Amino acid sequence: MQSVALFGRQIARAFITSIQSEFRPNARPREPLHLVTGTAGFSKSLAKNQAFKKWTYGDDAYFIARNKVADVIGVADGVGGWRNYGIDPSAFPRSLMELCQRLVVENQFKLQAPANILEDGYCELLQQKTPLIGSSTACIVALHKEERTIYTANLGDSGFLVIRNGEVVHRSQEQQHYFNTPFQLAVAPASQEWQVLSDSPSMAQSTSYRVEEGDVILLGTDGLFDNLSEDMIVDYITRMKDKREENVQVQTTAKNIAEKAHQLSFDPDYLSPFALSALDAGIAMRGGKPDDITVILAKVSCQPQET
Amino acid sequence: MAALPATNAFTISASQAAGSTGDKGLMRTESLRNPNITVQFAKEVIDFSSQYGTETSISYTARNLAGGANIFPSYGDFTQACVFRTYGPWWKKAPSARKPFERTPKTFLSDDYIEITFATKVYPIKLDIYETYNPGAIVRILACDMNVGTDVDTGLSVCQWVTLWQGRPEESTRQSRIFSPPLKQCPFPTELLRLELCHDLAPYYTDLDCVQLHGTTEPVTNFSCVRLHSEQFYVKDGDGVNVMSTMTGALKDLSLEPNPKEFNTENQYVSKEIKQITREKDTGHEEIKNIKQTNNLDSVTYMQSDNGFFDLLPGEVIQIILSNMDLPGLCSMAQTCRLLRRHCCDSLQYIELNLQPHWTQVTDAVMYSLLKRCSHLQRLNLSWCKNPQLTINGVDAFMQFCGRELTCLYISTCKFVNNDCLMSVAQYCPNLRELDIDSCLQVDSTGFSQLKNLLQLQRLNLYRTYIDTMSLTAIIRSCPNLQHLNLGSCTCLHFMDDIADELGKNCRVMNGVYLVPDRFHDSKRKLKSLELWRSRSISHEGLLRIYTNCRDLEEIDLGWCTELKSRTSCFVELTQNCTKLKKLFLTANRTVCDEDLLAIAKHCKDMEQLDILGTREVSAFAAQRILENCKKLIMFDVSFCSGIDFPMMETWKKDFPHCEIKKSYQN
Repeated sequence: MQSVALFGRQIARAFITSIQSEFRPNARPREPLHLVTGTAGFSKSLAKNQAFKKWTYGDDAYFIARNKVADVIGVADGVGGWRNYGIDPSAFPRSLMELCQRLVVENQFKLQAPANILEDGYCELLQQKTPLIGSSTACIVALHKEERTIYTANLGDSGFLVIRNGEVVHRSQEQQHYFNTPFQLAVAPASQEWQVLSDSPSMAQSTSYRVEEGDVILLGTDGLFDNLSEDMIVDYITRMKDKREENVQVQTTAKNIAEKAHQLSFDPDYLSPFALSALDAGIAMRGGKPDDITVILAKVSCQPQET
Repeated sequence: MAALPATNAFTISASQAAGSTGDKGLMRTESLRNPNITVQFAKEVIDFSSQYGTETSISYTARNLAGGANIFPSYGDFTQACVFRTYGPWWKKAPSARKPFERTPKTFLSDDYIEITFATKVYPIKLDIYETYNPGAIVRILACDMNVGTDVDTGLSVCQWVTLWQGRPEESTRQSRIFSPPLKQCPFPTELLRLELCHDLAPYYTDLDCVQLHGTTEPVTNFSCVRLHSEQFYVKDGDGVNVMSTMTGALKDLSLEPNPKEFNTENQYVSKEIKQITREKDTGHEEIKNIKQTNNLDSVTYMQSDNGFFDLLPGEVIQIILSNMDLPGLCSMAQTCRLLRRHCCDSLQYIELNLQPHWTQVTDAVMYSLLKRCSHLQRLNLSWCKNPQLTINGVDAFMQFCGRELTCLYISTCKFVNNDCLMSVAQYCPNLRELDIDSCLQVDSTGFSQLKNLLQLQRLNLYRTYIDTMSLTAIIRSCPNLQHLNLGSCTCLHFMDDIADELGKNCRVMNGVYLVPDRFHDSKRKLKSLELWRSRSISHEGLLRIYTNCRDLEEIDLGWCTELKSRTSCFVELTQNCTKLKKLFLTANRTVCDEDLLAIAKHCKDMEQLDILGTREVSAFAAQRILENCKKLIMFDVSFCSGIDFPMMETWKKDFPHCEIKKSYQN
């Protein structure tokens, strides 16, 4: 029942969004936008002595990269199943994100197609001497500063939301083969090449959307979206109003969201979005879904004049 | 006319000197306190001779040298580094190795170079080179001045290179380091630097992280400017800079031809004499000539002038002595006296000509002055010659005059090489057997299709060129003697299987024509080495054509050929068919497995160099079988093979001391 209502709301929103974007007058060139970002996350494993690695939370990895024309953020969620083969599942998403970050910083990508960043990143992964094995979902959002437009690419069940005035105005679509098995980029060991699910980076869903100053972009892995409903997320973000010390606020909010998601993921009685979709798939379950959680919160704001 | 750039440079330094009146010591201390030191990382890599990575990639490519430090202070084999194509002596030991040139100066060691630009022009004070893996390969640092002006006669822009530092390669310390050799004062502000590397002592690939230049916008010590310029004209010590500078003077002087007329006629007479000898003796200028001819020549020499004891020496002896000198030495010698000049200008001294060490100096004028002496030239190396004053005109004239006997031409990474250049090569050098045009990026199919006229070709190096399938097919069809073919990093070869098919057919047809027992087979008529490094399109079908037809293959590089899969058993069959293999590179083929290694161990007893980097499918057991069975193995790269650990390596190093086992790492 709830899911039906959710679905209806989504359609209504999509409709409103399209109308909005169609009737938007052609904005005159204004000062470029940029992203104020904050990140937070939790590793599913509770072991405290885990070696902290830059840009990772458990098997999740993310990156934030900036160059002259764009600010790019991305997350990737490693598929944990590789652990059974004695392979570190976090290596693949981490390398993928690192390479994407380098591609952005070194201006080696076409902004209008962030799917290309994914594709190039994936190709670069194969160019490494280390035979890397694993798979991951990936989601990348690139803000073109001058055009005031975000270009996105999403493969799998990570995703993003664009929130404006307390409403979700744009979002990614989840891509799944079947329940709990998202689309994924993969490099399989030579002996099992044909047994492993591997989607081409070109299957990533790409969108573009004009953003305004004050919009908030939330990028997260499934650990977030499986445990926090959209309303709860929007709630957190609307509470973030004050304009002063933007970056501190963004960071705090990201941390709060991640903490809440983390807390709920271990709540056995909580009817999480994951439990709901499990029910839809005919699997009776309750409670949150313990998973690695990564949240990148990015507020679109006017570029500070760095003079 | 050609002496102009040097004069220009001198006037610059002279004016700088005029600007200074202070005490030299004082100036120096001032420079130390000078607050206007600009520190900058390289902005862009504009030219390089080779790179490990793919052209469009960001992994292991030369471009990575630009920008700040990504790796330092870590030590290891990282993707963010600038890596060159080769390391160590291994490529020089492979069957495809080229014969070294005679008369190469001992000071010239460079194997690779890379050129970088900086945002701000400065007088370099200090250069920090961040070496993050196997340091010690840098042997030379040069600075370029592109604003010298233009040559009045040719209208071509003049650029001047000055060596800021030169040294010998060092043994790797296996630690990352910042290399800041003491630089000589640069007489001009520069934004273009060049690093030259010698890989001889590198135990594995050398990785460079970044380059940081410290410099001032104003010249700091005028004293050193003057000193550097004076060195351009006088030899002070055996340093490479001075030799190079003297070389310019010498070559240019010759092009001016200040000699009296009668000397010229005599000179012609003598060289005619020697030509006769040549015809009889072919290229045997080092052999002892028969007495009659010696007497003949002697009498000529005697009649000519009074040269003291030198007149008593038979001409051939002088020739032999001269043959031990390097080119700058020969040019200096030519300035001593008429007798020696005549011998130094003899065409038999110019059978082989290696101008690569003198790449900064080679201009059209040099080519014009050399062409008169090079009528018997057989091997010419013009690689790296990129002086803007060297144009297609000079090279075309040279080829027209000296191309007839030329068998070997190396023109890699030359700016003047374009379609017209290959056209003139194809037209004037019918006997060419070796052609090296790697990294010549201005040639397209028009130029490459000219190469099919070179029917004698045995070696063709097309590394990092835009050769296309059509042109290459035509070349392979018309050159039945092809032995060595390098197609590494050729991005435009989209149908490598067709090429392989053509190579196979070419071999098979010859086997058909020469229906004679094996021992009568002309050994020159078989493909011996083939490099397909980073070919994305070669599949097991293509490889099948090669190994079923070219069974005498001694070297094949299949590194980064990702379409080859071990499960098609192409590698096993390759080793079964080509049992003479001495070098096999299967770099980064993730599918290479134990079965392949055991096949190599069983069939390829002559194997010397083997690379199976980056496969998870091999076990230490199979690798050990290779070490046990291939007794001639001298290099074995098992880097990033997860099945082989470092303790295992240590054991092997003790058990198989004759073989260098490589295992690279990232941290």
